[in-house]
Amino acid sequence: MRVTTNSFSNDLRHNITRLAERQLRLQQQVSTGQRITSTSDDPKAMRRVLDLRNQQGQLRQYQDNITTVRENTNVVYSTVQGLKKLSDRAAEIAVIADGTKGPSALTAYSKEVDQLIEEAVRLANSKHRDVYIFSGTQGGTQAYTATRDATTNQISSITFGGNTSSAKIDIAPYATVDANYSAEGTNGILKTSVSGTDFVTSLISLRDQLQTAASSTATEAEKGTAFSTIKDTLVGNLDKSELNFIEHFSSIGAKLSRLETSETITTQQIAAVEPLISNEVDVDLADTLVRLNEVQNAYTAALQSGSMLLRTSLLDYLR
Amino acid sequence: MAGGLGIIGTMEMARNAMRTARAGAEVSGNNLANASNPIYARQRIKINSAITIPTEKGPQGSGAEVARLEQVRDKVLDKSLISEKSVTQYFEAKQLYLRRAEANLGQSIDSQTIDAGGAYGTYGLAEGMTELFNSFQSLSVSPTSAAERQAVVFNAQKIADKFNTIDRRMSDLRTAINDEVKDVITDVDAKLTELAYIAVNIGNIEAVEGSANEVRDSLQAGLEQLSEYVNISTTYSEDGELNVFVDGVQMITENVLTNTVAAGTDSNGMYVLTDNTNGNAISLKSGYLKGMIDARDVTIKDLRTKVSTLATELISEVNTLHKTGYDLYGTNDSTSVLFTGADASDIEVNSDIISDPRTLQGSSSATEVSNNDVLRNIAALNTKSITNLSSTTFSEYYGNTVSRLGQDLALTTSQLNDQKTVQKMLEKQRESIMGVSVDEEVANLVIYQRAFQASARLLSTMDGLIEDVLNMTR
Repeated sequence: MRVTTNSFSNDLRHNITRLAERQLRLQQQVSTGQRITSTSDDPKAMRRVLDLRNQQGQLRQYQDNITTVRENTNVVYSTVQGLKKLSDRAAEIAVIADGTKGPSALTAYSKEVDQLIEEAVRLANSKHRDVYIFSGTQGGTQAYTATRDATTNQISSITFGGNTSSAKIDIAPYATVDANYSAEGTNGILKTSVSGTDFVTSLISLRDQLQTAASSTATEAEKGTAFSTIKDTLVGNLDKSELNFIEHFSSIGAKLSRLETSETITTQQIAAVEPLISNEVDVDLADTLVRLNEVQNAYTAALQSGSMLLRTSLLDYLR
Repeated sequence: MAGGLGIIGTMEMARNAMRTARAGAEVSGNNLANASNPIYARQRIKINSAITIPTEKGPQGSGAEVARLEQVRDKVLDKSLISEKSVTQYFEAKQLYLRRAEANLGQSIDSQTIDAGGAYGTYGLAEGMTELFNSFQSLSVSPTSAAERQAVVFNAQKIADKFNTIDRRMSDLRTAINDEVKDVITDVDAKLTELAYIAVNIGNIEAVEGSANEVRDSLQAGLEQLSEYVNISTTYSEDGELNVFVDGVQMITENVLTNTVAAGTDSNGMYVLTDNTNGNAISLKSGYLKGMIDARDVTIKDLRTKVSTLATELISEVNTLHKTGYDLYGTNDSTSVLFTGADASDIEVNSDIISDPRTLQGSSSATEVSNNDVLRNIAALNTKSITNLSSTTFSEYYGNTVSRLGQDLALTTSQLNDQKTVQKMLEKQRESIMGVSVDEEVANLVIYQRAFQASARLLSTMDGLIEDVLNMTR
């Protein structure tokens, strides 16, 4: 083949441009650690990465959901704990407040029970992140509205303002948990459909019976009825409430452990997606560095040989 | 009669030989001067033996003379390059504009991000959709939370902005390409006029002076430049006059410009190349112009439509669900939408919801503020197959769109690289035939120098002979 003067420079220019392009590409890969940054680098891989990242994004969201539900459930758990303490004390009073106690002791008990009622209503109206936790899905309305006696200002009755339904929360694809708790209803915290489990009403009744028993104006018969109501009905009812609280403990505990398991699984799933993305996106550093080195060598060689060839011609040897 | 040239005849022969050697040196000099001129085809002198004269001993040569100056060109290669350059430029233009489209779409991966909160480092529509649906999911956990409502509004605004930006960028890109198409058409027209002028010149020169070598170089360069814009074909008439066709439409007939091109508009108001005589559009097959028009009217247009369809479906799906819900005030406004607008160009978040996120309708009951039915349904759109998006999910549809563009670009790039290799090979071959080699020309110079010196010696020898003859009579 006939080689002309421009053949050298044309070829050199072409090769240097090509090598420079490759160097730039490899240098980009090394400095970003990524094999692909834009779609055209590897369209199919990009497609898979977008899917994987969407999947990962969903999983992260499930993780966030679980965290929030766990937080809410923990608040419910500690509130139920508080209610159970009240119930313990109320049951104690119901047992010890018998005919052997004098009026002043009974008055003191009735006052204590009154405080327990206040506390129970306050707990039932607990709010977490500005939502009433025992109002079902009517979190904007307080669970119990208390009606107070005009003269004594004591709570005489309560009205449930919430509902018994619960919103579902996604914690995994096609898996949900109930988000809300209700003070009443089949599965109510303070009152279930089983008769006698109405905690606050039992407390009100206990207080009123104690007041009657301690009253100086009540007849002996009335006092006797009061004591027997406490013994025969209220002690049993308070036991039922206590059992209800305990049942809730175990169901909430079970839910918490389910959430914990889900969280672990989700974390594992997120971790499993990571290497898949990495496989598509990340560069094999060792391999790329070696290739960069090769291209750099070729580039240097091209420049060196080029400058040598372009410098010399027959003219250098003719006198 | 002894015959032969005789002393004076031989001196004549020496003079002719010196002239021939000098002409050779001049041509080599011209070649050397054009060594770096890329369009120049090397020239050489064709030396013929001078006429032979009859002698008693038989015919005797009478030296050498320059027959003609000729250009070393390979017409087949020249023609191939005209068509190959056209194809190369087609891919070149397509690649350039698809790259811009890809950049405008703004979908990239940055796995090195150190941003907190599971951010992706970059924000494209893919991330936007994931974040939007995730914020609905978060809100479904705490439907009354002002912060979560704000997050939904914020993410909705972010994705609406992204849609607007992409749509505007694609539309700007198409306008920019369109303006350039017009400029290129003007250039094509100017180039045709120039070519006709060169062709006429060649005709005039060659009618009297033989081959118009340098002007032919310009003609070939001019044809190649034109072919970079549009696909052309050339033919020559029996008398060597040039005909040029732009995609089969004759523009130059026997060295005369008989037709011109103009920038007409198509049904979408976009510029296209038209035949100036009848106003018909000239559909091209290759060339930079075709590459631009293809990018403008096929890939970028298609991309813009797909992004817009995505926005339209997102608006409709989210709004349909939103209209059924109740806000935190317990009211249902069946006309209340989250997104206003119809497509990517005008999607926006309802300003009422921006000013009061409590009016976001996420509950399925007027009285239940903690109800999250609507919110969960909206969040579930992330995995729902949408009929109008070829029964794929939002993210799948977008992923397909993105990877389609990527495949187009990747394919164009590899086609361009192949095509460049072909063109490079042809150019190399042509350079090898028509290019100037300094070494070769310098060597020729030495040969001509020596020939000149030898002929001069012959002249002086003959002169000595004459002198000897003249001295004989003294």
